Amino acid sequence: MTLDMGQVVRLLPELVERARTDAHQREQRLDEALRLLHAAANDLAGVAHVVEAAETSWALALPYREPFDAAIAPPAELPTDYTVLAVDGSSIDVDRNLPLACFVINLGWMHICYGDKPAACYGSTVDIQPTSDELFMRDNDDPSRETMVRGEALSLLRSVREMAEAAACAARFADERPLLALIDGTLALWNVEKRDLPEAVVTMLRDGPRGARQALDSLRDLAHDHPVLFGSYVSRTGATNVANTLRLLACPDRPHVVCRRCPGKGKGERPCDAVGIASDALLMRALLAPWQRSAVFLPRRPGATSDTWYREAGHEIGFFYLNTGEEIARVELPLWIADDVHRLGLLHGLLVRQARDGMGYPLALREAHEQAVISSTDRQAFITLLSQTCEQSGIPWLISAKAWQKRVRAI
Amino acid sequence: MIDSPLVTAERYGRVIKSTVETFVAECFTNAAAPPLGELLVVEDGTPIIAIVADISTESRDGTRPLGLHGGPEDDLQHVLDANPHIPALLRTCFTGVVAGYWEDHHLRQYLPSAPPPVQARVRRATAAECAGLIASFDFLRLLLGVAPHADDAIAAALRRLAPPEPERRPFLVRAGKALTVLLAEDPPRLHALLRRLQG
Amino acid sequence: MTYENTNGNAPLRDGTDGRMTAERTVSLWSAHEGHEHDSIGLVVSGSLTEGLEIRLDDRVLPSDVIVGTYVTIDAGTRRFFGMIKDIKLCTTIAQLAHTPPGPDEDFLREVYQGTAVFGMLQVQPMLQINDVDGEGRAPEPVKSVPPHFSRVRLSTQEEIERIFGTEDGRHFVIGTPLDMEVKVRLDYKRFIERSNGVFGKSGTGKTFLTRLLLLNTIQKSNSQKEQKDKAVCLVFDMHNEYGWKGTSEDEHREVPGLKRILGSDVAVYTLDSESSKLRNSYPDGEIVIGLDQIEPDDMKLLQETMGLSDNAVDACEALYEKFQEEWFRNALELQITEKGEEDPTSRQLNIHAASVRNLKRALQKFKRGKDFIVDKAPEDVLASLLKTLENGRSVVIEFGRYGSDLDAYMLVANILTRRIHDRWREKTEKALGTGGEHPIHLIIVIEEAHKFLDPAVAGHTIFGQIAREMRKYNVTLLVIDQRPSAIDPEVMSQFGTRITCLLDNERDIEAVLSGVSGKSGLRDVLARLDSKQQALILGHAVPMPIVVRPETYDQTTYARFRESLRSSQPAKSDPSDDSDLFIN
Repeated sequence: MTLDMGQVVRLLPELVERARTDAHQREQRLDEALRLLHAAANDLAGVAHVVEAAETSWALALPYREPFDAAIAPPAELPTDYTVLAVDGSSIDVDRNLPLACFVINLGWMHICYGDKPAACYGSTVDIQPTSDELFMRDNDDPSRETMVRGEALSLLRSVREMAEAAACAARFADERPLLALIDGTLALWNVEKRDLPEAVVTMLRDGPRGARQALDSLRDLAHDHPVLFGSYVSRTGATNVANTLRLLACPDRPHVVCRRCPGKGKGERPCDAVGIASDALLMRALLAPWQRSAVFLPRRPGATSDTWYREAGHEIGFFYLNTGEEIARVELPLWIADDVHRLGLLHGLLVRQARDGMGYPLALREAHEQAVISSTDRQAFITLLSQTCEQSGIPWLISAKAWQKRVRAI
Repeated sequence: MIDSPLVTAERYGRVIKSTVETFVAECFTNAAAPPLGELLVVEDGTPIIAIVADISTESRDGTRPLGLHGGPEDDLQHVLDANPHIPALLRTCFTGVVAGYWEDHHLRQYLPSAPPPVQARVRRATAAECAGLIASFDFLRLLLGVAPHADDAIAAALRRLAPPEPERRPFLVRAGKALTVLLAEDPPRLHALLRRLQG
Repeated sequence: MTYENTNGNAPLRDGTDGRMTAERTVSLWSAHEGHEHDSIGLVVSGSLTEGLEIRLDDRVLPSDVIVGTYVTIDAGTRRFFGMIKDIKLCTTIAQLAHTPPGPDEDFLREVYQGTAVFGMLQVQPMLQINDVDGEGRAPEPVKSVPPHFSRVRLSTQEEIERIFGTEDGRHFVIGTPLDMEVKVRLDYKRFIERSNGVFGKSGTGKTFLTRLLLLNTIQKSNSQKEQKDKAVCLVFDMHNEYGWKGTSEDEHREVPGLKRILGSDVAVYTLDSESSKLRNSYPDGEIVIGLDQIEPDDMKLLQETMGLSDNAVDACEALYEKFQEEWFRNALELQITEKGEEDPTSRQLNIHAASVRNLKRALQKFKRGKDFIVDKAPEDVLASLLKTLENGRSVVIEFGRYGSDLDAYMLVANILTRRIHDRWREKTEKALGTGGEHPIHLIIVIEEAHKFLDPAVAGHTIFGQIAREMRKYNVTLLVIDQRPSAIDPEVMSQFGTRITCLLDNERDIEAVLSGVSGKSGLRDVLARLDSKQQALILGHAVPMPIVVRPETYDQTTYARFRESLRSSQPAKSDPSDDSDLFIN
């Protein structure tokens, strides 16, 4: 069937017109959102009140101590002697076609020293977990509840391991020079309850050995004695926390907003639509000049419970947006860093340096990523090695037809 | 050249790629690569004597090419200071051309039957080992046959092997004569090589 | 762990250092007297006919080698001797001829020397020894070639001496080789048993050489015990060089002649006693030729020089038939009338007026000025001359002022030789038939031999006959000539030994070397001789061709001759005096 260009030609103008109209509308909404943002800039208490009282499923942002519309430049003076540590991870998922059900996590790290004694070192740590507690995420209370680590669970595990690795490396490298420790992705296990993970798994990730709490504790302790800074970097953030919060501020029902009672809901005519913007990134791009950061926000999700442990453990996580010129990134950091104005500025400034060196993305993180990457060749080699080892040990292997096909490529 | 055979000769690196004619080794330390024309011994396995025909610096990861850093006003040290990760991501390798091997303590100046094993260590040859090489100029045939030509390395090696004055010149003349016989079919190449030797 | 080499101190294997290679090869060849140290190269190609190609060792510069010198080639139990006939510069890299090393490229020059550029010798093999240590030690003419890569060295003095014979009754010294002090000797017996030739451009020393040869021959003859081994010489001395005294090579000094040195062993006859007196020469006899001794054959020989027509020559024959020995006088008395008619004698003999005129004019012109021609010879001087020879005394015939008169020379030579021919043949046939003594071996020495031996004339003259047949009658020739190409090739082929000084005419060189094996190399050697004091000797009397510097003709030489004379013969008084031998 060929594409009827005649029809296409007739349909295009409408499309273009709609886009133009849409763009215009979007511009209007953005302007409105910005206006609202500026208006609420110093009314931190007011915003807090609305956020805390809201009944909505949206993720929200609470400005921490800085004006809502803050656009802060990096500090002018920065130390010349400092080091950067970055950790990233990648994984090979469980493959039913392997003789042994297992997964591989590869954590890559890079440590770079700037200043008087420039140096760099890097490495990677491999974690292979076959039929172990972790793999099946066994619930010790109920052994029947086993979840194979796969997909999202694996990536969560990976994130936690990254934090642990970052803590371990930071301990190794910390000295009298400022150390910026970065990981890629989110610090907070936000969406845990959205996923179908048993409590036991979550607990293990959070509280178990090499878990999130342990990592954060270790980092905080380290930060007591050394100028250590820690954060995570989320590239191309799609978050909408601030945008959502602005909607609340635009709601006629404020300060007590209940979204499910909204009259325009479902019909596309909600009052907050006037300030509806697709993402925080759009907003921040308009608000922040290159290398500026937004205020530190606290993420709030009404009704959520799983993220309170952070507060209890003393590791409440905040975040700010950073304009790297190339993109708007979201930087998450524990409040024990954000509380220290000097450290916060240092974090911002060194991060900007790294992003500059790395053409818009922190250089060390990119390098850590390179160390972490598992190429298809690596993957194949792993499978081969695993198969050989299994064969030698006499483990029977029934391979699926698909795997067999993939393996034998010779003519 | 190290004069005393008792001094442990400096170890440069390990073989990462090899054929019976040549091998590539990665340096232990990027800054400590052997110079062109240096005489090497491959330990670990059949001991092989070779000369350095090429030295290269490249990205460790073949899929990641090196890019430009800094502006025209920034000198090298400035760029390296500002980008400490770059040296860490590089490796220096050197190519060795096989000139002979030892069998029962006899140095044979022809190709061994197997290439040097990968991961074998490579070190500088001692004065005594070099002396064994220059007893005859047969090894030149091996060096001249390598493609692409390693003529500058050959000239550098011969100049290194030459004893101090007053035997230096006669030695170089003898080497030149051996080369003349081997390269009679390629006068321009011979001429260029002899000029380098004379220098 | 370091790897020591057990062969770390081995000498170079590729021969780029000639010294070390030579040391290594000592064990390869038969251990002879360490000659290897003089090695100059290796045989790399060549043939018996064309000569061997020798690749010069690197440390031997082409300029160190001289053409004409001898080399020895060791090939296991065999040994070869040859003469260097050519030296070449070779290169393996053609480009070097276009772009040679520059003036500041000493290094390149040194490197290329012996590798890309090197010298090659062409050597003509001449003798071989088949079994150096064993029975076959005597050198033989070469019949084979040494194998590839045989070592070549300059021949030693001992080797040359051994080849050219030691001092004994059979050999006499003729000179020394170019670059050595050994003696080169000719084999006397072989020298006298065949005709020989001395050749060379004018001024190159032929006379000098001939003197030396004659002195030695006569002296050697004296020392022979057996009559059959003795020899006498009859010298037709055109320029008065051989008898009493002659001039030295540079024509400033006088040198003593055969008689002055050898005394009564030599008799001098003169055609021109006045001239002899002027020269303080004391002849033992004077030659007169009677008209009755001249024969028509003599006219035939002199036809061209006399200007005789063919008819006139025929007339001579006719006259001889009628008048026998009186023919000449009768020929002079033939008349032509005023009307141009023949006289009866002429008519009777069928001689035309024109022939008569021609004949008379020629004969008169011929007779004029030759004082030695008389109507009738008083006594038979010629017979006594022959007797002198038969008794073992050599004879020199001085021509005095008639030396420049070719007619006189040729006439006397022809007449005398005719007599000798008859006498010697007679005696030989008698000896063969009824027993009795063979005639003594006679060597007839003639100069300007091409006049007698020209192909056109050789058939007529007695010399041609002698050259061809007289060996069996114990008469041989020693010819001295500067135009050997003009000599009949058939005659030339009879010459056993040829001694030649510098020749520069292609045809002359070709003529001298005709019939000689390996002459291509000798041609070059011949063309490169010095213009004086060098001669190439080849042929019957030497084992192989050699370039020599003839012995000097000086006090030591004379003393030697006189010494040997005294020792072999009772003292004779002679008018010569020791102190007189050197006029300066």
